[in-house]
Amino acid sequence: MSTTRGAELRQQNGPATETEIDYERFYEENWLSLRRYLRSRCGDYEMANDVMQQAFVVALDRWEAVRIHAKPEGWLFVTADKLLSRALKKARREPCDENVQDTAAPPEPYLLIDDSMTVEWLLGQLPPRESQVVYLCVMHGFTEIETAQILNVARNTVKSYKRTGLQRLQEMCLRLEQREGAAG
Amino acid sequence: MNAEEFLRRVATAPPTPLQQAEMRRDLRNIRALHAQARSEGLDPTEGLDLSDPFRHDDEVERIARAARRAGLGTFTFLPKSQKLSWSEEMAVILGYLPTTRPASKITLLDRLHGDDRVEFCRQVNHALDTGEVTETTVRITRRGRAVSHVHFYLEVFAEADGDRGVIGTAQDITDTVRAKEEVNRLARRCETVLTALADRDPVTGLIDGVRFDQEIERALRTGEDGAVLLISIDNVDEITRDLGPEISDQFLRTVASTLTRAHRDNDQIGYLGSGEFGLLLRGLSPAAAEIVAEELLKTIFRQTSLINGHHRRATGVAGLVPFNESYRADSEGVLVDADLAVHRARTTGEPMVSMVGEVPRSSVDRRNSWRERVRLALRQNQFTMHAQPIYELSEERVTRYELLLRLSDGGSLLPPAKFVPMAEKLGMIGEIDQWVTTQAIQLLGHFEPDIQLQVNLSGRSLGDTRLLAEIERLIALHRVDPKRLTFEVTETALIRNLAEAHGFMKRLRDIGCQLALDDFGSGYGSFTYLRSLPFDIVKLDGQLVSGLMENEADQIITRNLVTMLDQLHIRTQAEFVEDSRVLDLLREYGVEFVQGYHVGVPRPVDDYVGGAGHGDAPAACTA
Repeated sequence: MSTTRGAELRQQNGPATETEIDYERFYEENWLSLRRYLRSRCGDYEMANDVMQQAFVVALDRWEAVRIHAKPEGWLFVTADKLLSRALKKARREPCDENVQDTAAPPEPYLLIDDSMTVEWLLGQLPPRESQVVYLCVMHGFTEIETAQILNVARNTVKSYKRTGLQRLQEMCLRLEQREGAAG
Repeated sequence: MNAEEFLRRVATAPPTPLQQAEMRRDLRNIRALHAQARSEGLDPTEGLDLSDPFRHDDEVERIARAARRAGLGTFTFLPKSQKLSWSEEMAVILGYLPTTRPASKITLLDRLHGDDRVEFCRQVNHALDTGEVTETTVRITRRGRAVSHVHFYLEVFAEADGDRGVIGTAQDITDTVRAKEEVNRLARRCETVLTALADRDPVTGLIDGVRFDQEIERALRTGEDGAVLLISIDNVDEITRDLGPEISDQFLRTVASTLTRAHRDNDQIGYLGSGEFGLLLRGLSPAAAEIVAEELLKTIFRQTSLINGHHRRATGVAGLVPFNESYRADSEGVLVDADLAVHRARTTGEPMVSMVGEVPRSSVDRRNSWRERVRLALRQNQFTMHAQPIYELSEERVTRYELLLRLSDGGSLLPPAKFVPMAEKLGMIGEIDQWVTTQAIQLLGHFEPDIQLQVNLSGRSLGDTRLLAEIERLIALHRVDPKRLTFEVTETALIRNLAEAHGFMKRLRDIGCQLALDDFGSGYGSFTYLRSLPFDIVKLDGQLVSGLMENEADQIITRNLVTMLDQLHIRTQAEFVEDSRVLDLLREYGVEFVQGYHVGVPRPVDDYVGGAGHGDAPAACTA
């Protein structure tokens, strides 16, 4: 896909530099994961999208510095977390704006139309820290140490949250299955 | 479905065509946003850390650095060496100047509030035992006794040699806690105030007598035509006696509800107490008011209600007083006329007497008419005494009775609320008090020697030297033990001259009688009276007791009042005790005497004299 995008880029703007192609590969590899992560964290799709775009703008601006990190996506998630915190704080200061709520109600289970949405809803039901750990460790594939470094917590804490978070998710999955079974 | 597998499956699924389209659109936006920021000279990275989060290996150092950036304090504790260290921010949160006090377990625990130390240590040990992160909020007592609230986030880390330690991140959340406390306090306060609206009768939900009086006053001031209809329901006492106070309250609510449905929109209905309902009929000529009133009475007195399986129909009489611009009276005058109309209806046997067509009497005439009525009642022995048992919780038996005055009025027995306020206003209360006192002293001789009697005295009579002399004379004459007589003074009664009242009461105590302050908590002067007057017993206001099980605020007030009174060496008595739950709660609070329908209903004195029922523990109280 990156080759296709690189070709597209060259078509639009002339020959693409290696840095640009590198950034696009990074973007394409992380776009869906970061969007899902932010959606599960705040439940507000519009806010999640804004924050995601801001994070990639920052990455684009400082790509030369960021690309040399051992794992640039670690920095991307840290930056997105920081930007989301700012957005939530701003939303709390401006409660009259109906689009900015830090606790926007996630869709009810009967509105979950695909697996991706179900995952976002399930993670949104967990305590925030557990949700972050489960997402970063299990879904995105960061190691426990990397997750601890992204969230600035101890590795033991990551282990503990991962275990309890997965237990909770398992219980919720069972309830969802029972519900679907009852609905026929 | 396995949750972990489900998450991994979703994570590795390739983007759908729709997602790919969204991704391309977003990339265009990102490039545009970046270009715009650059052209406007904005720095999109402002305030963001560009360093690699994976370059820090030492997790203690990393967590401490992150905490410092966020303005949080940190401490680390190694249980093996018992070594504790903290950041400068932590020292400030604990109220120490940075670097002035060495970090140690003792200096940390020293600043924790005494009640929170055990829980904090428990949480640290729990984190170490399980490896799980724990959180706890503790109070920090700083120098100068200022208390702050600090939230700790406790994590376990492993050292290179495998030893485990705890790193705690601390945030001062005092402002948040204070804000929450204030929100809760306001919510509780609103709840308390809303549950006891000042001008509403708690049983019927209608406006009470004071507010009804104000409504009449307002109508009179505007000069509009109208009328006041006073409906006196006669069988409330009978229902209370036969079926209990709960059914009686339901009956009153049914009558109130019938009236509410039947009255016109702009009329005002009030419950004046003792089975009396008042209606302010606005904008009606006297003749029209009569028609409206008759229709209302038909509705009430014809309707049979089924209350908890009992069929009951309201019986009673009514008085109607029309008023207009030329009517020369205040609200009190209107109510006196209405009351006289009710009285006349009772004596003539008519369902309603209307003052329509009668020339409004002057206030002097009105007062004289009332005086004559009281004198007639005294002369013709229309006053009578009822008694209600009082249960002494430490003795587990009835040791006292309260004597209650009733006025016989055309076949009905009126409680004091219906005539005492007017008698006080007209200066007739002295004669009534004298009659009551005489009866009480005579009655003492008819009760068992270990029974005491409590009798009500108007606040207006305190200072009446003739009454005092009469009490002394009668006690000597009947050779009764004065200790067996307690005089109750209601808190809401206006004690005009505190010094005079003090002299009167002191003399009563010198004689050997006891004194009780009635309805404590309902008026404004309670504490002044407690400080100035020599009371032996305080009777808690009935409204405080009747709502005790449902109202937390009433529980707090009652419990603390009892404690306060106990420390003042004053005994406490509670009225309106209607079930065993209230009785048990009052016993727990330390109340000494209880009275109410659960203990015994008011009955003619003869029913209790001579051992018939007196001294026995009521069935409900024997447990």
